[in-house]
Amino acid sequence: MRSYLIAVTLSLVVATSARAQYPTDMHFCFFGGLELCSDVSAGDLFDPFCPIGPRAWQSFYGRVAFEILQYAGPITIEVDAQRRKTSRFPIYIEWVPVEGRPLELGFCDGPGEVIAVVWGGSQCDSPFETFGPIRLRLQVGDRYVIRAHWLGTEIGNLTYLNCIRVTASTALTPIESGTWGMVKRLYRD
Amino acid sequence: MKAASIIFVFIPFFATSPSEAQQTELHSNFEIGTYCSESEPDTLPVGQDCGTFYQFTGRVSWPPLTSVGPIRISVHTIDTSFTPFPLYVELRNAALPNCTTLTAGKVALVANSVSQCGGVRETIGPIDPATFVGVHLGQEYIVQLVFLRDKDSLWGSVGIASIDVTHDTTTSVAAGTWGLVKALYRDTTR
Repeated sequence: MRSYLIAVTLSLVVATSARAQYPTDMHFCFFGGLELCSDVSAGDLFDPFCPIGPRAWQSFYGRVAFEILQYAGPITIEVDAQRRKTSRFPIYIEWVPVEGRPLELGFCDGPGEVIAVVWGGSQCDSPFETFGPIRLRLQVGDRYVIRAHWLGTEIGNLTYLNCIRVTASTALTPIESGTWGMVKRLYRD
Repeated sequence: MKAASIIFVFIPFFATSPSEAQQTELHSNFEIGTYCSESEPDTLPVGQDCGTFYQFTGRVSWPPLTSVGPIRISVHTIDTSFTPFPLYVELRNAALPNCTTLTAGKVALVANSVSQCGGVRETIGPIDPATFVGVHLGQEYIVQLVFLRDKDSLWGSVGIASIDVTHDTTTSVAAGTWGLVKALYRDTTR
């Protein structure tokens, strides 16, 4: 009985630590970062004369999936993207759940759901585009993947991406961010 | 023994000969089993008299087509208040001989459709697979649709009823006569 209890406890610890090893936030940049998977690389955009220093962005045909994240609440997505005068297509930012997904399916395969449409800035020093907070249909602790989905005809009409930042908020509902005074007032009402 | 071996040799030859192995055109109304897709189709509620239009999530593809020159792509689509995304039609070279949705292609047509009963037909072409995706005569390429889906509303790309990919016969090469060919030959050898 005692060994049974130890085994159950150990398996719970292992299961908990296995789930806990995934980060809740992400800051990925193509130059130095390693994506989970990608479809077809379409080349770089390099601006050596940008006032804030040399800058570079990358483009693809199809999908690029980033690291596996653990859901801790609504997420805010910030994107450093660049469009050219000839860019015709946005980058679609999608999310893909990990739980319930067939093991043989890579994260660049299978359908995702669009959570942001990125058109990119027109200046090399344009600020990050921000989307959020975005609530995913997940329970806290569930795992998911963010991926970028490019569509294009030729390299010239693609939009370019350098960095993507995902920040989780632990405030799940507006009530949680309310003050104690507000709670008392709501109770009285 | 000799007759038997002749039959044995010829049966595989005829078995691989039918045009199915060398499809050069595509005509699809999304009959089950004729395509591969990343999701099951939804039927759009557009009204009984307005036709049957389908919506997927992600990629839909067909077995490879053999290039016989420039093509024309035509899709019959419908826009509704719950189809905020366009439908992308891509072409890509066929890395595998079967139907796959495993990678991306180049966008050949962006179907935005119109909101009217019965939908609308959108056509593009001629597109030469050789210059567009580097697929030369006799080589295989894949036609692929990309549907998007919104996270909150679950609304997606415009609906589609059918797709037709046909060999384009309006290019100057196809319409040329033998006399024209001879004239061109004379011009270049003078």
